[in-house]
Amino acid sequence: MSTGRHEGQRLDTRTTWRRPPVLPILVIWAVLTVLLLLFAPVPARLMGRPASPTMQEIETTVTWFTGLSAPVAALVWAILLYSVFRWRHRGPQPPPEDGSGRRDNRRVFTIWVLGSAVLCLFLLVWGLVVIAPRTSEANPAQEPILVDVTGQQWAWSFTYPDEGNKSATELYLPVGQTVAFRVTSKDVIHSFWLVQLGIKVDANPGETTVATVRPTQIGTFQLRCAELCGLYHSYMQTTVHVVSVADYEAWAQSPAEAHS
Amino acid sequence: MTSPTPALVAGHLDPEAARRMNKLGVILLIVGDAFFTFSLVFTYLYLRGLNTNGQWLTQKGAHPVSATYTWLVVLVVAASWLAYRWAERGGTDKARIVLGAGLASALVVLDLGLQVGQMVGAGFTPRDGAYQSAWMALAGYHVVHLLLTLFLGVAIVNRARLGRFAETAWHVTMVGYWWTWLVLATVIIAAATSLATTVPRA
Amino acid sequence: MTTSVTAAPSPPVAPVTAGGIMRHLNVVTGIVMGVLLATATWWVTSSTFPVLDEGDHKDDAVTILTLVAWVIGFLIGVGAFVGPARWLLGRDLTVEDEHYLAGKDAGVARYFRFTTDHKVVGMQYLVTTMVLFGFGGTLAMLIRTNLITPGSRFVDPATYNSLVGIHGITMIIATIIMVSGPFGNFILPIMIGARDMAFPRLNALSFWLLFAAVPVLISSLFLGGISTGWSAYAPLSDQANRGMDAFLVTIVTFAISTGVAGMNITTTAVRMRARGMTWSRTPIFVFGTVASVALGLVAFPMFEVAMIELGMDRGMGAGFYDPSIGGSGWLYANLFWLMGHPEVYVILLPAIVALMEITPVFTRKPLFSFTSAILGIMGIAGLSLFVWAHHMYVAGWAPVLGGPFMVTTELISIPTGLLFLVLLGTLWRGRVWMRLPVMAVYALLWNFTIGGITGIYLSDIPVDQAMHGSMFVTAHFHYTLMGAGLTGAMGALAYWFPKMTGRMLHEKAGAIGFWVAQVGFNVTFMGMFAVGLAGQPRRVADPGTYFRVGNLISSIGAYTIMLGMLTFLGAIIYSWRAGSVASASPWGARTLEWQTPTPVPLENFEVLPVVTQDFYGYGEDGHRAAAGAPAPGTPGGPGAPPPQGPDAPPQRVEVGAP
Repeated sequence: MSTGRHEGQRLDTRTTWRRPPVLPILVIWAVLTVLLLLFAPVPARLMGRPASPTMQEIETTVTWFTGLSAPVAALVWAILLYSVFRWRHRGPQPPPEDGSGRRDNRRVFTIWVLGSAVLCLFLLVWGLVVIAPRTSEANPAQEPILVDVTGQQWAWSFTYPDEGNKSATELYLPVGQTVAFRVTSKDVIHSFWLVQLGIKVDANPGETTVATVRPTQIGTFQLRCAELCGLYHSYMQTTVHVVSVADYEAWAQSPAEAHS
Repeated sequence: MTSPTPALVAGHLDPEAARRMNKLGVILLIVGDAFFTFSLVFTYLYLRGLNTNGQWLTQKGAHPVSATYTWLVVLVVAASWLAYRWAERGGTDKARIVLGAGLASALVVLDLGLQVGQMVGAGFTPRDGAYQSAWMALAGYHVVHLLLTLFLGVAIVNRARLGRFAETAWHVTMVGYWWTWLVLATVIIAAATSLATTVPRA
Repeated sequence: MTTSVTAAPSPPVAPVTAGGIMRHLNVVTGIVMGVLLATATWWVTSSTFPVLDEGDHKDDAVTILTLVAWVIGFLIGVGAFVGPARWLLGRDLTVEDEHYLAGKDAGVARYFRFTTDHKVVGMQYLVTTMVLFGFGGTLAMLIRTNLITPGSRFVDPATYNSLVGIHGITMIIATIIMVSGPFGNFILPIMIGARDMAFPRLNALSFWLLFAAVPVLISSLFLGGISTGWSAYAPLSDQANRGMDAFLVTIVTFAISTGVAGMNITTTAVRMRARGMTWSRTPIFVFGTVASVALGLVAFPMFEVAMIELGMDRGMGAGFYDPSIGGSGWLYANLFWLMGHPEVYVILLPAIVALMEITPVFTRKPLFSFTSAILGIMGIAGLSLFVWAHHMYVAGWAPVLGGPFMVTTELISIPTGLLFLVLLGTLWRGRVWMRLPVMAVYALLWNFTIGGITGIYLSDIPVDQAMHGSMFVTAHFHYTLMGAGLTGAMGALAYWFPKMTGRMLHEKAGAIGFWVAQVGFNVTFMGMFAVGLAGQPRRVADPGTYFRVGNLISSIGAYTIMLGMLTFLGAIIYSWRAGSVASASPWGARTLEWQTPTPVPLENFEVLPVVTQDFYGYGEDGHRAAAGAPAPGTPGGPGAPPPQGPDAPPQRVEVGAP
């Protein structure tokens, strides 16, 4: 039984990949892949300019993942596109004859499983390798600056044990130095999210969690609560000032701000 | 009671097919219930392991319930299971089913009394802390189990008394599966609450 | 078990009066009884319960017990306990009783009482699902309306949080039941050649439990709303207002309903298949639905425990989630996600296998690689129980477990890929008869590709640090649950509509509605991906000016979805009332549900079918699906095969390389 008979083809002696539908699908696939690769830097763009090596790593990973998934998505969509235009049967009645009765293809199955296993393995290696340096960042040669972070409905407060327990409601950090946040909550679960610095950890009542980051850009950034925490959750945000070391020390020496 | 029309519902299938079908159904329900029970045991063990704010059994006057009493509750359930098994082994012997399932149900009532007694006499309420909450939930679930079992036991006694198990002797077996799970669940709960009480490093 | 019984089948002990009480019960008596019992419970509890010195637990205890009383009262009133009570009393239901319960010759009234016929239950589920989607969709439109401009005061923050929570739980319930409810009940038993479900009374029970839960869910609107999101993280849910009590009663009721349905569908599929329907001849829809409901059976009890503990915290002042007396929010989060991740596949699997059932019919080809489909379903179902903590990467509860959970999560991409292979392989060189059901396959493959790939970002722990709790997550799971799940359910509805209603779904109106909704869907959630990447957290009433453009795009898309869905709904309502009359098998499909007449008679088959080969033998000369009772007037109807005996092997024709 000729599987391609409904396309009205004569017996075709060309090798598999050069025959329709394989060749046109390959062409569509290549075009779609290129288009998606052009799109690959866009997500990282949307995430904004990274302000720490952590965020830099995240954006690199996102770009790579997008790039690598481009051929996968392109394959699915190429087959869909081709089938819509070339394999479509028009009309209100079902096609007069059935398609091929083929139920399986060992080779395709094997290639598919191996392909997805390799991709999966790549993801795992990538993820686990990227985690490794991050955990070691918790024990750097340089002693990190400690900041105690407390979330409560609906505000953040910060205490600097290294600076005589100076407290603040906006976060001040010196550029280029590792900071360790000890995060907790007074009431419900909040989530401590330094958006442009790429770290996030939940603030749990009764527990303390730790997150570490090294800001590398001077500027003002956003701290947002990322876990629904009640009525004014959307306003539970504050400003992060990453300043030069000199400015940081000047700020640390200044009298504590009065906060309500 | 037989009908020339094709079988409509399970109760009128041929008894062997009905038995196989009901057996699978009962086992699946037990699986669902097992996940429920394990979640409660997980709650108990996880809260003990976390010991948030050092609050596991550290309040003034806080004490775990008596382990001996807990195992007494298990013992009575086990006895009721034995009585039921004895009835079940008798096949379709009407008197034996009435007697065995009746005794088993009576023991379930006794166990209900014991369990409620333990809860009332525990000297704490769920308001007192995580241990007290987790223990009460487990004990309360045991009470629910017992009430359900009592319904099944009384039904079997009644049906046997009326001779209504003739076509459907497998009903006795189905309830037997549940009874076995009841004992298992009780042992699991008792083991968790008696072997793991105070926090080791507290 | 010996059959040497003491007596021949004994007559009823007490002569059963013609009818008995169950012949007077229906949904109205259920509602009356429910309201009466709830009122009585409210009166008794609020006048006797002590006001404890701390907290406000009395109100919550009264609310919970009142709502539970409504559920129990309703079930009593609708007649759900007649069967067990008569079993206890030894007065088993007679065949006549069972015919009454099955709704024999009862006309439309059978849809409004405790009817055991699986087809009635299927229709009840279908209508309930659509009502829930309408309700949840309306809430979604209110949410998107509020987000059109930054600082909008269309609704206040409290209302906004409630909208988000009620939208979430309504849609979760609706999507869980959307395939296994209507089609798992109506179609699946016919598909396997059974006369009804294994446990017809439990089948009715699972529907009426769901029915009883719906008013409880809606009552949360009047009790202060569900202000915590549907995840109801503790201890926020400990301190929320009484809408949370309605939420937890809804969940417990729904979980019992789902558990009972799961046990019932599984038993039906395992034990009630027609003679000769070996596992390798069983349609793939049966496998996927069973995997889904069996997963639900083990997953939902854990959520139920989480909710009962929440109820104890709220109503009794217990300390499961209260850190000040030793509780922990992590306990809740673990129990919740132990249910929450399997639940995602509870939703997805039936939708995907419904499309796997559809694709061969409209491509006139066998299902490609049945083995891959089975492996994919089993792999997903198995792994899904071991990935829950990827929802808690940033919770801090166990940082060392991040790696292992990342491994299990990313492994799921392999069985998921197999499902893609099956669908694409079946499309490959098919003769695609482009009707509404198969359009859903195209939409699903598009959406699910995006949903799957964005899931890979989230599975990576470092990336999740940036994305967890942001709108990116919201967009991702809408791509899977709506873009894949709901799309599949819409395809399934278009496919089985003729069998269930006896009329064809209006092709043109349906297709226009479907594609408008698909375009709107992609616009909405692409916009949402963008604001998520830019750093907008989930569930914020006022995201701020920075995200203005993305949110505006999303809202425009949402209105487009609404237009499309309303058109689709219009097509359904019009076709149901006045569509062209469908033949017994309008698609020329081979599975057994198309071999019985439409409307399907009470016991489905005049003669039970014997199956001699599987149902995907398209393109195999001379082989047709076996059918016990070929319907007259089936277009392209089966030339009845010569019986080959129940154990004849499935016949396959191997074809050469393409």
